[in-house]
Parts: sequence; structure tokens; C-alpha cells
Amino acid sequence: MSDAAASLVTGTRVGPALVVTLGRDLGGAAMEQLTKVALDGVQHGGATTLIVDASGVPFMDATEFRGLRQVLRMAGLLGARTMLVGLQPGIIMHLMDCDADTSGLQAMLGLEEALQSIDSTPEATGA
Amino acid sequence: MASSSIKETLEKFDLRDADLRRIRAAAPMLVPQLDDFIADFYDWMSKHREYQVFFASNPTRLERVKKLQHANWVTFLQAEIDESWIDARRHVGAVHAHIDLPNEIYFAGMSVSNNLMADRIRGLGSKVGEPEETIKSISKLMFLDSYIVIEEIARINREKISASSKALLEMSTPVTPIWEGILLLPLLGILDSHRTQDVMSKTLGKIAETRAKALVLDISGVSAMDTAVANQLLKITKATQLMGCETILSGLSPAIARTLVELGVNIGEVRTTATLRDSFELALKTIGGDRRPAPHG
Repeated sequence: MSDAAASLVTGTRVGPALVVTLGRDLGGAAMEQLTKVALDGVQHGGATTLIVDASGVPFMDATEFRGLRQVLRMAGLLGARTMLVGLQPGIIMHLMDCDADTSGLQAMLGLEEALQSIDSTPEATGA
Repeated sequence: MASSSIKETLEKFDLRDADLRRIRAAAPMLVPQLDDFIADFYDWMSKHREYQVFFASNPTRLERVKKLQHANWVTFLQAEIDESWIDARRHVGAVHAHIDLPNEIYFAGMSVSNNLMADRIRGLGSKVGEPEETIKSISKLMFLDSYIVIEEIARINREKISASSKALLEMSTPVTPIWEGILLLPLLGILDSHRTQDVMSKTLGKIAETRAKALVLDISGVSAMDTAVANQLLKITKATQLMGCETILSGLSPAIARTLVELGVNIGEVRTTATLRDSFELALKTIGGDRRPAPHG
């Protein structure tokens, strides 16, 4: 992992979840890095939930959003539950203007809510 | 009004030092006649409808107003035009704005007062140095007095209008937290794309602020439902979902349900209920049945 690429996307393991934090820029390099970190974490790291945190992303266009969704779908195919958190209201309004497809996407306001939601699932509590 | 602009205003009204001096010189002779003057004024006013409206049912009010009017004319005749003189006139304007006094009766009253004052000055004859000049000076000061009063009335009315239009704008999208984690938005009137933008931005902002998990969108007040409106509603729903907030549509009437089905509108997985009560129950389930009401403030 090169230093430059590492600064674009960061993966952190929190219990059964892999939290992937996006940097400001969502260009091609960042998207590739995201795919690698997310899928590696799910396949080799054993993460059962993938949380992508976009709270640090100030702008996102419909193409970048589609790319993001593809990564989430791939992780879904590997059996992980996926969540997108921290989308800014401005980005959401833009995506709605572009009629972006959001069907089947699980989104949460912030990381806290996402982690709480996986804590309360039977698997996580061991019940 | 700063002292320099008082000077400018006096110049505009052509009120010179000589005018003010004449009024001050006549004041000691006119003040003792003020009670008669005010009695004559109310004789005139009692012939008009406004007298019935403002005083007929309340004789104590009439006495109070007469006393205030006396004090007002005393300061008028002292003709010391400073900040406090102007403030006193503004206060008169504020009171008139408060009771919604019609401008017609106010100006008519000032005109009558002017004539009554002129009659008294003429009656004093040679005791007043230059009666006709004094009458002119008093007229000028009365115009200034009326101007300040009317200006204040207009200012207060402008404030009222801007406050109410602001309130109307706020009222059009009242996103309210009704329970911890639940927002309520009753939609009224027409939902076009412009309005949807407004609703969306306010709702998303409120979700971020209150970290709400459920939004109850009450559409019983939406005047017309068609494909376009349904699409706007769907957009709002999708947008809130991207913030982790479930939207529940409430207030669907049989007519709206029929329209949506007949138009073939697919509202997808949006949860809908007929009543607000059902929506609220669903919302409580969504947030986990936590039964804490919204925090005050």
C-alpha cells in the first residue's frame, strides 16, 4: 500500500465490522483503494459488516455514488452486511436531483448509529 | 433621529427659530385654555363613528386619553424640539398603530385641532404679538408632529407585515420533533419541485440536528395528488433514507389511494398509513419503542 493511496481510504476493524473511512477525494485511485480495503477486510479479515463512512466527503457526484454502491454490492456478494453512513445533506439533495438509484441501500446518519445497530443484532450480542 | 437630522427635518418643514419662539411666547396664554380646547375637540369627535368605536363603551379610557392629550399639547406648545419631543410623538404613533386608528380620523383630528388652536389665538387678539404669524408657526409644527406620528405608524405596520410573512414561510415547512428520534412534518397545499427542495433541505437539516430515525410525513393537507406529486414524495423518502431515517407517509385518504393505484404510481417500499396514529405507532416501532417524549426547547 503506497503512502499516497493509504491517505485516501482508511480501514479500521471495530468488533465484527470493518469501518472504511473515505477521504475528501473520491477519484479513481480512492475508489480502487476502497474496493481493495473493503473486499480484503471482508474476505480475509472475516468482517461480517462493512461500514463505509462518507462523513468527510464534501462533494460526491452521481458517478462516484454509483462506484460506491458497486463496492457495497460486491461486499454484499461476499456475504457482508453493508452500510453507508455520514452522507452530507447537500450530497443527498444532489443525488436526488440526479435521480440516483438508492434502492436496497442501507444508510445511517453516523458511525455511532451504525455501530449501535450491529451491536443490537443477535449475532453480535451472542444471543 | 440624531440632533443633526432633527435640524435637517426642521429646515425641511421650514420651522425656524422665530417660529418656535412665537409658539413658546404664546404657550403661557394657550396652556390654560387646553381643557376647553380638548373639550371642543371631543365635541367634534363625538359626531363621528370612531368615537363610538374607541370610547363609547369605556368612559374611563376617554378620561385617560384626555389627560394624555393635555400633556401632549403642553409639550407641543413648549416647542423644545429634541429627541424626547420626537420620542413622545413616536409613542403617540405606536399607540395609534396598536389600536389600528384609521389615518382618516387622525388627519381630520389634526386639521380640526389646527383650526381650534387658530381660533383661540385669534381670540387672544393683541395679547399675542403676531397672531397670524403664530398661527402659521403652529400649523408648521402640527405638520411635523403628524409626520412623526404617521411615520411611526407606517414603520410598525411594515414590521407587522414582514414578521407575518416570515412566519408564513416558516409555517410552510414545520418539521417538528414530536418524540425522541421522531420528526413530524405536516404538508399543506401544493407540492411542486421547488417546494420539495425546500422540504428536503429543511428535513435533512433537522434529521442531522436531532438524529431522528423516523419521519412522519402527514399528507392529509396536500391538495392534489398525481404522478408528479407522488414522485416528489418518493424523493423526500429516499433522501431521508440516505440519512438513516425511515419516512412513513400518513394521512392517505381513500381518494388518494385510488388515484395512486389508477395512475399506476409505484411508491415502492414506502410505508403508508391512513391515520397519524398508525404512523406514530410504526415510527415508535422503528425507533425501538422507546417511550420518551421529545426534549423541550
